[in-house]
Amino acid sequence: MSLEIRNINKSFGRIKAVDNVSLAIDNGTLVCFLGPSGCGKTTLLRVISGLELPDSGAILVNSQNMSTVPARNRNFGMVFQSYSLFPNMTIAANVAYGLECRKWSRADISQRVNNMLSLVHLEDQSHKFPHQLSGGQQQRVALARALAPKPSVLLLDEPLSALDAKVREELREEIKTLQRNLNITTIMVTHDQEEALTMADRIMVMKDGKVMQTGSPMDIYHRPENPFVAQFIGRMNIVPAGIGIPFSSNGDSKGARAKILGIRPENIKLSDDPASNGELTGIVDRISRLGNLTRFKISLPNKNGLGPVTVVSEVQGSSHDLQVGTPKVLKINPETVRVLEWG
Amino acid sequence: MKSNYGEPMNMNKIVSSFFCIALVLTLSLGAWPSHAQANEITVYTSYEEDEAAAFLDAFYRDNPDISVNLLRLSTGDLHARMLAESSNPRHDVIWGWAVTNMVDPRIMDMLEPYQPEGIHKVPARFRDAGNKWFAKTGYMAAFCVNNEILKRKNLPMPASWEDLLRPEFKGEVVMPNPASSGTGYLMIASILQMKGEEEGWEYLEKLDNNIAQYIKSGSRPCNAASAGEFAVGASFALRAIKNIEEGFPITMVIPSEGAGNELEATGLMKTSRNKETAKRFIDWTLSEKAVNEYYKWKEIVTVEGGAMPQNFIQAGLPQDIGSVMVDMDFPWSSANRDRILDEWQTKLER
Amino acid sequence: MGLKNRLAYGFTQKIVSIDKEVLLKILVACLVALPLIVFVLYPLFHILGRSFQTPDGIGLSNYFSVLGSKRFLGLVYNSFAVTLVTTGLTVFLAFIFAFSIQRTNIPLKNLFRLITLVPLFAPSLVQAQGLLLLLGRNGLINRTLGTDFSIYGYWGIVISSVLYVFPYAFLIFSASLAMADNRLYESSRILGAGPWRTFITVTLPSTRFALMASTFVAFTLVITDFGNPMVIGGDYSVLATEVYNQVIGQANFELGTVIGMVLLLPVALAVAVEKYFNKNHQDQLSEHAKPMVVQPHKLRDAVFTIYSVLICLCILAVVGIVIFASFTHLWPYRMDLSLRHYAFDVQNGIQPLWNSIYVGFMAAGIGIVAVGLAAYITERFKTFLDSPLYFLCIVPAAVPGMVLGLGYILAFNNPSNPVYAIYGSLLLIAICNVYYYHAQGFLIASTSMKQISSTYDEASATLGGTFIRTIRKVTLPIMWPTLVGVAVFFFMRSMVTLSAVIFLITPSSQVAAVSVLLLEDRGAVNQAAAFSVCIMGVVVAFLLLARLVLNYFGYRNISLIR
Repeated sequence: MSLEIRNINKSFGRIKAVDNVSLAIDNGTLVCFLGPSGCGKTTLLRVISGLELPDSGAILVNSQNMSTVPARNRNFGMVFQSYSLFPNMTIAANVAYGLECRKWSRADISQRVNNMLSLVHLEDQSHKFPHQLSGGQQQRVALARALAPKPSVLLLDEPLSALDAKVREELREEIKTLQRNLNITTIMVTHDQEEALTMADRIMVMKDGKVMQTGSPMDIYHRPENPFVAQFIGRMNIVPAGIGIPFSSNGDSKGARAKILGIRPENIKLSDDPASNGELTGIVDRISRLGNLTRFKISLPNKNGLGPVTVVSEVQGSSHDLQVGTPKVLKINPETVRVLEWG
Repeated sequence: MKSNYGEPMNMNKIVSSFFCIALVLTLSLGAWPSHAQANEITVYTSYEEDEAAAFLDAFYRDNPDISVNLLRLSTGDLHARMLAESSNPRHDVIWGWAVTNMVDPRIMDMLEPYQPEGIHKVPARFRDAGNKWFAKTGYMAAFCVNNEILKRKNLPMPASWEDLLRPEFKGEVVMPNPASSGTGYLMIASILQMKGEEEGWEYLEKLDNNIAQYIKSGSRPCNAASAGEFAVGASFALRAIKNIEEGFPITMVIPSEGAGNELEATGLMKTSRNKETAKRFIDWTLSEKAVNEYYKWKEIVTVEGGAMPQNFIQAGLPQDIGSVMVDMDFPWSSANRDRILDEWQTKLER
Repeated sequence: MGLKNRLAYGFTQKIVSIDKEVLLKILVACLVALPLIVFVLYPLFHILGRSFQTPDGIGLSNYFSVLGSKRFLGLVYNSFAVTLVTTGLTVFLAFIFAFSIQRTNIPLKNLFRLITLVPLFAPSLVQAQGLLLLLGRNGLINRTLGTDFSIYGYWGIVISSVLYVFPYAFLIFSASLAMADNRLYESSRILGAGPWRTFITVTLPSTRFALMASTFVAFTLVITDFGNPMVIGGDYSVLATEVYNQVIGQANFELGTVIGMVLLLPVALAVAVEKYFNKNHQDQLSEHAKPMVVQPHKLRDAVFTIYSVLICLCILAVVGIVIFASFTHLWPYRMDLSLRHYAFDVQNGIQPLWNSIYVGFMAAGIGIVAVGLAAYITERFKTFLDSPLYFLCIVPAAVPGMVLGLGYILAFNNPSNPVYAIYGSLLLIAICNVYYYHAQGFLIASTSMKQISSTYDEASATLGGTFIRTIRKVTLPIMWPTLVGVAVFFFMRSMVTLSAVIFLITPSSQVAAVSVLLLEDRGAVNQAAAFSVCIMGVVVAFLLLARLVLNYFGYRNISLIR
C-alpha cells in the first residue's frame, strides 16, 4: 500500500506540534521520522494512526482518503514504546485481539496466532502473561499483535527505546527483516539517528513540527541541506564560508553566496606538506584518542573578522604521534564540503 | 490450541459477575420501597418511640391486614416537617401530636373533619369544634432527680420550680429547649400562665442562671439526669416512670406549683391517598383495646376506661392526676407560641 | 485554541463526518453529566432561590435578618473558633503520627495504622458518644477519680472533632510521606545536615501539598459537621447545628437556606484554593527516585513509639468505651454485661441497619458506574466536554452534606418533578450519598486511571476494537480492583454518613446512622452505642470481604480505606 500525507497541521494550545507536513511513501518502504524529542514526530504518527485528529490536512492510502476514518477502522498496525500489551490477557489472547475485533473464525484465529508467534520466535510463550516476559519479548509480542490482522501500514512509535542496548540491536535486525519479508509499508518514529540510518529506506528529519529534510539515509548523511540536519545526523563541522575553506557549490545557489559550510570530521585530513593555494593551516588544540579513532581539535586563525574558528578532524587508527600546539595544513576535498546556508 | 489464545476464564468471569451483581443490586434495591399499597398508610407521630411501638403492636394484633409506616419525630421537628411538605404531604394521619401545634392554622388547613367511631367517649373540651382533631392522651411536666448525685453533692430534694432557683443547683439543671421540644414549650407556657407574663419571665431569667443546658428534646433531660450527667432534668412524667423502671437511681418530682401539661391530638389529612384505611386506623385509636394500652403508657388519658398501672403510682404519680395539673389555656399557648418563642430566644437562648 | 481550530475546521471542511463513536462518546458524557446537574446543581439552585424568597416576594431580607443578628455573628465566631483550632491541632498531630509510621522504625506499624483508621468505620458522631461516656460529668474518669469537670461545650466539640478528622488527615500525610526520594536525604546527610535540618529543608517542603490538602479537608469536615456538636456541644451552637435546628426544629427553611449558603462559602473557597494550588502537582516524584530507607535511631524511635501509643490509646478509648457501654446492663450504674441493648425494641427495630446496608450496596453500585464512567471520560475521551465535566465532578466537594440534603427536599418533594417518583425511597438516599461523595470517589477512580497507561485503549483502537469492546475487554478487566475500591468507599461512607441523609429519611427509610443520632439525642445512650457497634461491625465485615477478594486475585496493594 502506498501512503500519502498532505499538509497535516496539528496544534496543542499555542504549540504547533505538526506544521504543514506532507510526505508520500511507496509500498513496502520503511520510513523513519527522526528528530529530537518534542519535534512533533510522535504527534504526526498519532495523527496518521487516527488517535489524534489533525487540525487540517489529509491522509491517503492507495489514493483513498482516510482522514475521517476512525483509528479502529484504518487497519493500521501500531506498536507503542511502552509495549502496551493487555496485562489481563495471555500472549496468545493479545495477538488474537485484533482478529477477534475483525470477527475471524476461531480456527483461523488460532492458526494466525500460532503463525505470528512463530514469526517472532515466541511460539512456546503463548500461554504466559505479559509481565512474565522480558522487555524485548514483550515488544516482539506487540509486533506480532500489530501484524496479525494484516494491516495495510505498520506504525512503530519508538519501539526500541525502552530496551537495553544489546536487545535493541537484535530487535532492530528482526524488525527490518520482518518488514522486508512481509513487504509492509512502515513508519517508525525514533530519536536515535543510528537506528534511523540502519533501518530506514527513507528518513524524514523533523524539528519544531517542520520537516527539515527528507531523503535516503545516504542523502541525509552526506548531503544535509541545513545546519540542523548536518549536526543532528553524525558529527559535522559548521563553519562560516568566509573562513576560506574550499567548496564546490552544490545544488542551486540561486545567485546567492554560500554563507555556512559543513564538513564531516573524517573529510578533514591533516598534513605536514606546505600549504598550497587556498589551503588553511591550523594549530592542534587537543587530541582525543578513542581507540580505533583519533580526534583532533584544530583552531584556525582569525580571518575576515570571523573570530577564532575551531574544527574537528577524525583520523582512523591511534598511532599518531602528534603533539598539541603543532601547526598542520588542512587537506580538504571541496567535493566533500556542503553549503548548508546561502546568504 | 483453543485454550492457548483464550483469556484466563477467572478474570473475565469475575469482572462480568461483579458488574452483574452491582447492576442487579442497584435495580432490585431501587425498586425496594415502592409507593403506597392498598392497605398501607403513613402516620406521623410524636409519641415516644417505646410507647408508639407498644401501641402499634396492639394495633397490628387487631388489624393484621394493614401496614403502618410510622415516622416518629419530636413535636417541633414534626411541625417543621409538615410545613415543609405542605405542598405535598406524604402522610395520611397525624397521631398523638401536641394540640398546641395542631391548632396552628397552617396545620388545620391540612386536616379533614372526621368523626370516628366512639368519638363521644372523648369529652367535648378535648376535641375540635369542627371535628378536625381530638385528644385522647396527654403528658405532664415532671422533674427527674438523680438520687446518687444529691447524695454525693449533698443537695436537697427539690419539690418545686421555685426550689430550682437555689444557688446549690447552679449548673445542675437541664431542661428542654422550648423551640424544638413540645415538653419545653409546655413548661414555659405553664409558668407564664401560672405566674403571669411579667413575673413568669422574671422567674425564667433567674432560672436561667442555674440551667446547665437547654436540650433539644423533651426526654433527653430526664435521660441525662438518669445517666448522672446532671442532678435535675426537667422532663415529663412518663419518661421518669420508665427510667425508674429501667433501674436508674432517680426520683420523679411533680412540681408543687402544678404540672404543666399538653394533650396529644389525632387528625386525618385531607390529602390522604388511602382514606378508608386511615379512618380504620383512627377508629382503632378510640377502641377499647387502644384505650387500655393508653392507660399502660400515659399519665393523662381523656377517655374513661382503664386504671392507672401500679408502677405509675409507685413512681410517685398521684392517682387523682387532675389535682396536680395546671389548668392549661391551650388556645393561648397556641396563639402566643411564636411571640413567646421569639422572646425566649432573644432573652435566653444560648 | 485547539478546540477553536477543530471546530472551525469541522465547519469549513465537514471533516467530522460524524464518527458514530464520537457521537457515542458525547452521549455517554452527557449521561454522566445529566445526573450531576440534576442531583447536585439543581438542588443547589433551589436552595439559592429559596434563600431569596421572603413573604413579600424576592428579596434580600432573609440575608439581612440572619447576617444582621447578633446570634448569627456569635455562631460564625463559634464555628470558626472550633474549626480553626481543630484543624490546627489535627494537622499537627496527624503529621507527627504519619511521620512516625512512614519515617521511623517504630514497631507494630500496621497495628497503629489500623487503629487510627477505626473511626472511619463508625458513624460520624461516635467520637462525641465515646467522649461523653469517658469524660462526661458522670463519665468513667469523673466517676473513678471523683473529679467533677464538664466536657460539654467548646472543648468537647474540639476534642471529638480532632478525633473525627484525624484519620482523614493521617491518610493524606501518610501517602505523601510514603513518597520520598532517598537520594535527596542521602545528599542532605552527605552535606552534613542533621536530622532537624534535613526535616526542615527536605521533608517539610516535599509535604507542603499534603499539608495544604489535609488542612482544607479538616477545615471542610469540621465546619460542616453537626453530629458531634449536637451530641457534646451542650449549649455551644455552631453554624451546622443551627441549620439543623432552623430547618428541622423550627421549620425555618428560609433562614436555614441562608445559613446553608453562608456555610457553602468558606467550604467552596477552601476547595477552590486547594484545587488551584494542586493543579500542577501531579508527579512530584521523578521516576529515578529511590525508595526511602529509614536510618536507625534508637532515641527517635522510642519517642515516636510512645507518641503513637498515646494517640492510639486515645482513639481506642473513645471507640472502645462505646463498644463496652453497648454491652453493659445499665451504664454507668450496673456494669455487668448484657445483650439487652441489642434487642432494638425501638420503633422500626433493627430495620434501619438493613436499610443502611441496602443503601450502601446501592450507593456502591451506582457509585461505580457514575464515578467510573466520569473518570474514564475525563481521562480518555478527549472531547471538548472534558473540563466542564471534570469541574462538575468535583463541585460536590464544596457542598456541605446538609446543604445538599436540604436542597433535595426543596427540589424533589414536588410531584411535578420526575425525581419525586423516588422521593422518600432508599434509592434517593443512595443517590444522595453518591453525589455527596462524588468528588472523592471520582478522584480515587481518576487517579488510578491516570496510573493505568492510556495506551491500552489506544492499542485496542488501532487493533480495531470499538469503544464498547475496549471497555469490556480491556479497561474493565484492568480497572476492576480500583472499582472495588470505589465500591468500598461508597459503601463505607453510606453506612456512616449523617449529614445529607438526615433530611431525607421517611418512616420506611430510616437509616442506621440517623438512628444513632436520634437515640443519642433523646438520651438512649446504651442503645445508641449498640447501633454504632452494629454499623462498625457491618463496615468492617464488608472491608474484610473486599480485602479477601482482592487478595485472592493478587491485588494486595489496592488501598481500600480512604
